[in-house]
Amino acid sequence: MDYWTLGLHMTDTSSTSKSRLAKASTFWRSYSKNKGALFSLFFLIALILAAVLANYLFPGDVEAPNIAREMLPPSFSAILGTDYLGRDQLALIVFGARTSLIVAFAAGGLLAVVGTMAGLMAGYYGGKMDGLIMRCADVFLTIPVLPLILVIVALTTPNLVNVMFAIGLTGWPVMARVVRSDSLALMKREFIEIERVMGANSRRILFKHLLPNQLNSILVYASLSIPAVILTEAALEFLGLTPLSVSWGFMLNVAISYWIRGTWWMSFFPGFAIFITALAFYFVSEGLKEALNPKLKRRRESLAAQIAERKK
Amino acid sequence: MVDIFLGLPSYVAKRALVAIALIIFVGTLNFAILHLAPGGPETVFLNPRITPAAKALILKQYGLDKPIQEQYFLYLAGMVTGKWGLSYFYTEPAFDVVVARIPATLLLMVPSLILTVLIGILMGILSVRRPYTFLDRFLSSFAFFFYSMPVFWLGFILLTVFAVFLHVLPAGGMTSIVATNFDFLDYLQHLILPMTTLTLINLANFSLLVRSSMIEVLDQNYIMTARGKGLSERLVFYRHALRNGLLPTVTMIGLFIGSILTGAILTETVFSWPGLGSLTYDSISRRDYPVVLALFFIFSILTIFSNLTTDIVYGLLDPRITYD
Amino acid sequence: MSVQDLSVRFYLASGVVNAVEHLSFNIRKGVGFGIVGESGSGKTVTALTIMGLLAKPPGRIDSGKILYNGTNLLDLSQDEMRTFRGKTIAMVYQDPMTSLNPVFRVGFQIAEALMVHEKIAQHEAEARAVELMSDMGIPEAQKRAKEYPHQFSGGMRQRIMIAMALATKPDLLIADEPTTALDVITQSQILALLNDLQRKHNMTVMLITHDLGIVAQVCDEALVMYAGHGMELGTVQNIFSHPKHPYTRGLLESTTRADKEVKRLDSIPGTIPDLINPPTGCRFHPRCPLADDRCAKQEPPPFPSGSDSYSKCWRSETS
Repeated sequence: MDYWTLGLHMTDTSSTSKSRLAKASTFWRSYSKNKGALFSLFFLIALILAAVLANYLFPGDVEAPNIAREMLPPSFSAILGTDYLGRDQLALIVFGARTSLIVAFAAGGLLAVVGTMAGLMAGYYGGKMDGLIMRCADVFLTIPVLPLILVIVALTTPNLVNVMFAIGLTGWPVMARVVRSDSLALMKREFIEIERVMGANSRRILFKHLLPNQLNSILVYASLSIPAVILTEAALEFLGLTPLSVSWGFMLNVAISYWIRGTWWMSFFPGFAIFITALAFYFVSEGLKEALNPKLKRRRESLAAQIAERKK
Repeated sequence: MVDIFLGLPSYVAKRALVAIALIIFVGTLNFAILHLAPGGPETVFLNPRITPAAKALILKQYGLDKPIQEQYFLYLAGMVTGKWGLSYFYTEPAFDVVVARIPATLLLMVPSLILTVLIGILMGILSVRRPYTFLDRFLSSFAFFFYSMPVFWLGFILLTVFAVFLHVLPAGGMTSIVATNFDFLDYLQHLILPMTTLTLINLANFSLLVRSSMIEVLDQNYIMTARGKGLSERLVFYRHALRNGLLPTVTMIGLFIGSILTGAILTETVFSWPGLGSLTYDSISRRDYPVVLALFFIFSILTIFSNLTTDIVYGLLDPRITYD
Repeated sequence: MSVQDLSVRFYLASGVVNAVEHLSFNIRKGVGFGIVGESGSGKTVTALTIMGLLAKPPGRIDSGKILYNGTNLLDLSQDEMRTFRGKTIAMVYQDPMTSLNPVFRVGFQIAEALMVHEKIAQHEAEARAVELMSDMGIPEAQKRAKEYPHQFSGGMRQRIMIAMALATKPDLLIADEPTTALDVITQSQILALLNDLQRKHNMTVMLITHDLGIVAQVCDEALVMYAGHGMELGTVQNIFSHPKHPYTRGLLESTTRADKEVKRLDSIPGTIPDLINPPTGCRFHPRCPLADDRCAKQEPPPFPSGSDSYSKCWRSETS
C-alpha cells in the first residue's frame, strides 16, 4: 500500500566508497533505531526457530486425538487450550507456523521474482512491451484476486504447492508496477545512456545496472507484500481449501462449528498468531524501508513542521 | 455548457470497451481453468452419482463432445446469457442459485462501503490537518493494525464478545429465524457485527490513502498561489486542497470495492450471512464446482462494473477530462 | 517599501542554509525594481519573505525588518498579514503550468481575491475578472473565463496569473521569473504588458529574474544578489553603464548587448557557492578576478555610491 509514496534513493553501483562491513554496520544502526522493527525481527527469528525445532519442542504426535481432553480452556497443562480433538493448541500453532512461513517466503519469493522481471522488462523496453505488461498487471487489479485464487486452487488439486503458485502468480502486478517505475527513472540517468552508446547489450544493462541499483527497494517491496501473502494463505485455509490440520487458517475453519459452545480459545489463538506474524513482517519491512532510505524521513519531517507552523 | 459532453463520451466509451474486454477475459479464464482441472471438464460438471444416460445428455448439453474451439464460443455465449451450468447440490441452474444470493450480499456490502468511505475521508482529513502529531500517529497505527488483521479473526472476536458472552447482538444470519417478513430493525441488529468487521479493516487503509493524497496536494504550487491571494488557511484547505485531494479518492473507492467484496466472502462465512460469500464457502466444501465458477464470474462482473462506474464518476468530476 | 538587514536561514537536518544575509534595499512607489541573480542567490526567498509565505520551520527570519508604509511586515500576525497579501501586495509565480488550481474555472480564480478582500458578490467579481482578462489581452474573455486552466497555453496562463494578482489593484506587484517558462515571443509580450501596467497605474513592480535583458527592458532600479547578499544596488542606467561590483561586471560581460559589439562572451569562472558552507569574507571572492586577502577574510560592507545605491565590494571603498 505504501509503494507509491516510496521515493527511492538509488545509488550508482559503480561508486562504492565504503567497505561492505562498514555499510552493514551503518545499516544495522539505523535499522535498530526503529524499536518496533527491531522487536519484530527478533520475534520472527524466534518464530522461525520454533517452527524448525518444533519436533524437539513438542515430542510425540501432535495431531493425535485425545478424547479425554477435548476442548479444554487455557490452563497450566495446556497454555492455549485444546482443540476439538483434544490436541494441545500451543503445539498446533507452532507446527502451523511452518505452513505459514513456508508459503510466505515461497509465494513472496515467487511474486518478487516474477514481478521484478516483468517490471524490469517493462521499464527497459518501454513502448509496446511496457503497455502489454501493464495491461496484464491492470487485469489483476480489476479482477478480484481472492475469488480467482479460490477457483484455481479449488479446481486443480488443493495442496500447498498449488496455493504457493496461485498466490505467487497473482501477486506479481504490484511488484512489477514499482519496479517498472524505478527502472524508468533509472533509464533516464546518464550512466545508462553511456552504456547504450558504448553498445552494451540488453542483458548487461538489465542485470548489471538496473537490477543491482534496485536491490534495496526490491527487498523492501517484497517484504511489504508478505503480510498480504500470509493473510491470503490463511483465508484460503479458512475457507477449507487446503485441509491441513496443522495450519492456522484451518484451525479457524474448525472453530466455526464450535464457537457457539463458547470455545473462544479455538479461534482466538490461531487468529492471533496470523495477526502477529503479519504485523511483525509489516514492522520489519517498514524498518527496512526507513533504514535504507534516510532521506525520506527527513523530508517528511520538514514538510510536517511546515504544515504545523501554518496553522498558528 | 454544451462542451461538457465533448470529452466525456470518448472517455466513457474507452472505459466501457475495456470493461467488456475484461468480462470476455474472465470468461476465458473460467474456460481455461475448467479444462485444466485434473480429469477434464467432465469431472467439474458431472455429479459422480448420475446415471450414464444422464451423463451422456449433460455431455451433449454442454457440448463437451464438440471440438475445443466450438466449446469455447459456446461457453462464452453461455456465460453471457446466464447458462452457468447446473448446481449439484441444489439441482437448480447455478445462475438462479447465485443470483438469489446477491441482494443479501449487497445489503452487507453497501452500508460497509458507505461507512468506510465517509469515516475514512473524515479520518484522513483529520490526520492531515495535524500531521505527525499524536492523533496522526495514532490513526496511522490504527491503520496498519487492522491491515494485518485477518478479517475472519476480527469477526470471531466480535462475535464471541457480543453474541456469545454478552448476548447483546444476534449470533449470525441476516434475519431471525422466526421472522417471516423483512423487518428493518431486525436486519439492522444483525447487520451491526458483520458490517463493523468489514468496515474496520478497510477503513484504516482507506484513510491512509486519503491522507497521502492530501499531503501530495498540499505540496503543490497552486496551494501557494491560493495562500498568496490572502485566503485564510481554512479556505485554502477546504476549498482548494480538498477538491483536488479527494479526486483520486474516487478511483480508490473502486479498488476498495474489490477489497470489500473479498472481505465479504470471509465475513459472511463467519456470521452465516446468507449472501454470495457464504455460498462460496459452502460450495467449496460441497465441491459444487459449477456454482464456484459462477461465483467467480459474478464477483468479477461486480468488480468490473463498479470500477467502470467509479471511473465514469471520476471523469465527471475532473474538469481535465470533461472539458477536452 | 524598505527592507533592512534581512537575514533568512533554513535550519535543516543536514545543516543551516544561509539563504539571505543582511540584505537591505528600498523601493519607492511607482518604481520598476529588479532583483537579479543566479538561481540560489536568494531572490525568491526574499520575495516569499515579503509576502509572508515562507515555510517557517525549517525557515527562520533571523534578523531584519521589512517596512511597508511604516509597518513592519515581519511583526504582523498571520491574520494581519493576510489583509496585505493578495490585496496590497500581490505576487505572480514562476511556473504558470502548475500555479493554477486545475479544478476551478479561471474566472473564478481571478475573482476569488476580490470576493475575499473586497467582499463583493461572485457574479460582480467574475464580471470584473472578465474585464481584467481582456485587459491582459486574452481574446473572447467572456467565454474563456468559464474555462479551466488546462485549456490555456502557457503564455495565456501567465496572463491569467497576472490578472489574478492585479484584481485587487495592489500597490506592489512581485513577479518571480514571470517569463522563464515561456518562449521568447510570449516573453516580450508579457514584459510589454508589465511595462504598460506599471506606467498606467503607477504600480510598483518588483521583478525577479536571472536575465539582465529583462531588467533593462522593464526596470528603473535594480539589486544584484549573489549567495544571499545584495552585492550592488542602483539605477539600471548606472548599473549597466558603470557597474561597480565585479560580479555585476561579470554578469554584464556574459550577456550580449544591443548597444555595442561584443567580441566574446565570458562566463564567470567557478560555480555558485554552497549555502550551508559559504566562503568566508566576501561571498564572491573565490570567483572574483580582483579578490585579495582582505576579501577572503572580511565581509565588505555596502559602500554607498550615490543616493540609494551601493556596492558591496572592498574595491568600491575609495570611490
